[in-house]
Amino acid sequence: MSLSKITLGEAVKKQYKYKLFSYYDAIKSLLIIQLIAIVFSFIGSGGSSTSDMNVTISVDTYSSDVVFFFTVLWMFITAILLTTRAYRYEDFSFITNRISSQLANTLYLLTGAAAGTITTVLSTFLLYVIFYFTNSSETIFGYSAAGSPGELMLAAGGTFFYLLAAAALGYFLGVLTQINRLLGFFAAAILLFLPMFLGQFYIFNQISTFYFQESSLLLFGLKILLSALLLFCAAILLLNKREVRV
Amino acid sequence: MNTIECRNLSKTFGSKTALQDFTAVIKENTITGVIGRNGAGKTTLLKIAAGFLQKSSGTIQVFNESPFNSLLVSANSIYIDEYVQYPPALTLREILDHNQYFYEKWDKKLADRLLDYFALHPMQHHNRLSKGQKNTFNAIAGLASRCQLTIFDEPTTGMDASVRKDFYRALLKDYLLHPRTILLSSHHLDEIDELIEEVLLIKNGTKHLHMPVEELKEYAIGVQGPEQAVGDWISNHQVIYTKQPRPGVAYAVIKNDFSAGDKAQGVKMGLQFSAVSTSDLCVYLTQPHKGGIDDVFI
Repeated sequence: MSLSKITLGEAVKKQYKYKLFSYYDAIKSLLIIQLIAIVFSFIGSGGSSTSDMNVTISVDTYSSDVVFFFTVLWMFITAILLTTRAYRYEDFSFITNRISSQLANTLYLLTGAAAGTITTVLSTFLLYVIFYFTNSSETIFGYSAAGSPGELMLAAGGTFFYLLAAAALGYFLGVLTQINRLLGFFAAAILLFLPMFLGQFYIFNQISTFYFQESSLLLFGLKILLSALLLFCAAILLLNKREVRV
Repeated sequence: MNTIECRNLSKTFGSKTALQDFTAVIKENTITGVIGRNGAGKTTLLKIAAGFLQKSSGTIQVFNESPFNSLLVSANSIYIDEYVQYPPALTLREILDHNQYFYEKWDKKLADRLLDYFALHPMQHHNRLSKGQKNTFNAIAGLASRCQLTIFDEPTTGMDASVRKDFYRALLKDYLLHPRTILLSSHHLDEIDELIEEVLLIKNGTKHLHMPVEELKEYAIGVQGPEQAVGDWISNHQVIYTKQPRPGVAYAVIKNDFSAGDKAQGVKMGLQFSAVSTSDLCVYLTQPHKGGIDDVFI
């Protein structure tokens, strides 16, 4: 009898490659969601106009914030989806254990965050291009700054870390929900909704300041990276004793 | 060497006990039929062996490792039933390619030829197959993976009679060419008793019998004759099952441990002896009460 040997690293690599291929619906939905967001950001934007005697100044602001916001939402939902039963059970149709399946999930989400970052950053250019061809306005601000290396790095870094935070949070909440539906619901309520209403409470204030008021991209990235690591580790530990195909 | 060793294995789901004090050894390179009624604990046992479920107590070793979270067990075993999940985005062709990517011993030629033979279109999606087709496809994956431990949990559900026959034949041929440990659970023992070497009979979560199928064929014998004579004759023997085919006539299945002299005496008393098919025997052995469905309608 000769048994096939496989190391954890190989198993993770195989699972990761398989996920890249078979979860292409997630990438498809990213593209669709961003296209919709681009349409939104083109239609709905802030504007102001002043007129004084015979001079009228009208300023319209366009931004790809909607694209960013939609992408964060996409990342969050995708992360939750990966923890659902069907996705977990599928892994066990091939070679895996619980750790390799979850490490592959983590890698997949990192890849998703990278893909989301690239398309989000690039969507600004698409917006400029559409604007250029459709708008008769003579002055378009921001052309010169767009595409400058510093600007790009800042946008990409910021976007990536926000997406990573969404992925880690979604994955962790998804895992909690898999373990106990109520637990997941309460955790989501505490983490996502309460801060909106209890923003004045000291602790929520501090948390939001800690993460979102950070002005250094490097420190912001570090904070998110460590928090994401913590959330992913917790999720992996929580699911490691979980039975499949029950 | 043994592929699976269970000692006092128990598994509970909440308050329900699925397996209790289950002790058995599955030898390397055998085909074992896992037989039992619905809810006897067959699937639970097989899923614990595949590393899907966690035991509650006792020990289980597959390839000398605890199967839960074991990569060695996962790499060398495959569990096939009708609920095997594949990503809905993949076509059958792509699923087979992924299997090849994962399983070291995957036989691509065999998989392709079986897919072709069973008329499954490679561009179809798994979730759009009919129940029988789905099981046929899963069975192809199970055969072609050539895993040292191959588990088929009621693989023929929904297959039509000819596909079922073909599948069993394919299983036997492939097993002879590439011996491995195969566990096959089925409700139809009469369909697989030519195929399997060992029978593992499970009743209420415990092992009831574990023996070569040839022995099981000789395990019991049926006796039929006048009620009085049958009653007298079986009183010294271990009775497995009794029924009354017609008034005044009794039929009993007893354990085959009597002497030639006993039998000669029985023949003199007007009794007829007959063999009992293995599938009938398993039904009798696992019957929860004496009697059968007829007793419900009294």
